[in-house]
Amino acid sequence: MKVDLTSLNPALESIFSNPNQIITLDANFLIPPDRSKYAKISFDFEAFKRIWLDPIFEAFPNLAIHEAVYDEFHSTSVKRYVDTNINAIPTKLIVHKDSSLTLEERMLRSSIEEKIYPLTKYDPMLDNRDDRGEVKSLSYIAVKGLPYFAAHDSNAIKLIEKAEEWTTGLDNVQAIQMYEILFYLYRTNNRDKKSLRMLYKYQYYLTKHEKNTNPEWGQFIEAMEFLYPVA
Amino acid sequence: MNHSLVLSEIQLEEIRKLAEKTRHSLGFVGDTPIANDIFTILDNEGILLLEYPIKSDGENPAFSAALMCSKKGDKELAFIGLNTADYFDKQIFAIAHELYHFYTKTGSHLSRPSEEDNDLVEKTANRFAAEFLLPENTIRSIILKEFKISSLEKKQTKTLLRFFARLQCTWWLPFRSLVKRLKEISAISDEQYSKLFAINERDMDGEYGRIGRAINEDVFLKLNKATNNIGTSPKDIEIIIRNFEDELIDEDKFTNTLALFNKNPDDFGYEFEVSDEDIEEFEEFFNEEVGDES
Repeated sequence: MKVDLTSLNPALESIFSNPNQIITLDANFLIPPDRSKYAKISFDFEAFKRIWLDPIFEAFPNLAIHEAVYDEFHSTSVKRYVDTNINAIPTKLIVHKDSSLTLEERMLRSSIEEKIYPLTKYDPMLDNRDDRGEVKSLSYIAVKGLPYFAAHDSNAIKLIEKAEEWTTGLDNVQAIQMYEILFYLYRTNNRDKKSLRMLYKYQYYLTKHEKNTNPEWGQFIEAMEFLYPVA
Repeated sequence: MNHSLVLSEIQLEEIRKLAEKTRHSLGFVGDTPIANDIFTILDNEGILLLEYPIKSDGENPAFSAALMCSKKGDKELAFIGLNTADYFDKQIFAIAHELYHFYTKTGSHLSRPSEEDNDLVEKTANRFAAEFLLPENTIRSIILKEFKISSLEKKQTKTLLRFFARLQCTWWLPFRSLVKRLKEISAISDEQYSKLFAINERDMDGEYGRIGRAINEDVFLKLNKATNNIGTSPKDIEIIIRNFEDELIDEDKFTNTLALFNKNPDDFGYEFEVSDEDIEEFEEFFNEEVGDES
């Protein structure tokens, strides 16, 4: 996936000034990345938990997922980790439920879903798993006026970025990408910068193609610090 | 095909007119064979072609071709899925058959040979395919020009086989479609029809096979072979590449989609390999992680 350092993301800027806001996560933010097809090695859950999951739950007290995203967790470790955070008192992971929507909100949610799903692999008639989580999450947060959706999925991000052009109804939703949160952790958590670099490298600077299109970690940090100087 | 269903004179005339009009609008005037240009027609009509070999347990393939049309907003999408486990001449015929459904908007359609009997629309589509690939007027004029008579009832089988082989290598229709075509215009008798239909036209060492190979070996063998292609048109591959370049799909989806057509990103200059040095760095990193945990 491409790292875009051409402009500032107001969503990240806002998160820097107030990390207590609700950030709704796509499943790929909670599932260890597996790029073993290229790297011959997948990201171990324990390593992912230490480098990524624990720090984001520590940094952001109001993380959330939609209930449809919960259904995408198949690995026992991920499910157990997510359950522990959902069941913590107070909860560390909010679950958005469609049953909490009012009748008017449900109608609005359906109309947004109608606009989004043709641009994904999800089909409400089939209620298939493909892209179900992102369609349900985005429709829900658009209705509830929750502005932030964090994802590591190019299609989900395009649905938000091209909201006006594609008339997805997601004009008020803002995307936050994994590399932006990696930078957030880099700036606010001094514990283990090498691990953050390794996760960045695994996700964005792994293949020959990515090395031609994305900046290496040092250049990335430098460019991000230029974009977010007071963060 | 069930012969109990007979198309009326009016229906036949409508099919002829539609085929002629369509051929004309596509630039095939008079005696111009469509043959391999059928694939260009799909490209020009914006119909996406997906080729995949689907073998069946029996002698006949599971299906010949399938047309899928969908409309989203003011944009129409049409795909033809082509079973390339079928003989190449039958693939061409199947595409022409699906073009009938496309032009007449008879909707998304799956053509299964065994289900076509008694189906007026299917019979019409088959007749359209035959007329589209080799118009009735053309075949009549070819016969007249060559034999100076419109009926071939008195011609011996060997003469007919040579004639069919030449027709097939020019017009790229299956042998049996040509036999039917001549029967439809009453150029051959019922007895000749039965005799010709009983021939194993796919036996390249049989009489018809040897004649065909002697006339135009390259084309004849090509028509009588299952291509088993897995692929899509270059235009469609371009859409997949553009979707990646426009970040609508990620590397994984890009790789997986191209793999469906036996292609890989490397073919288009996108190199997704990871250096040994980087792999070693990750292995070392993960080993350290395990060490720290224990």
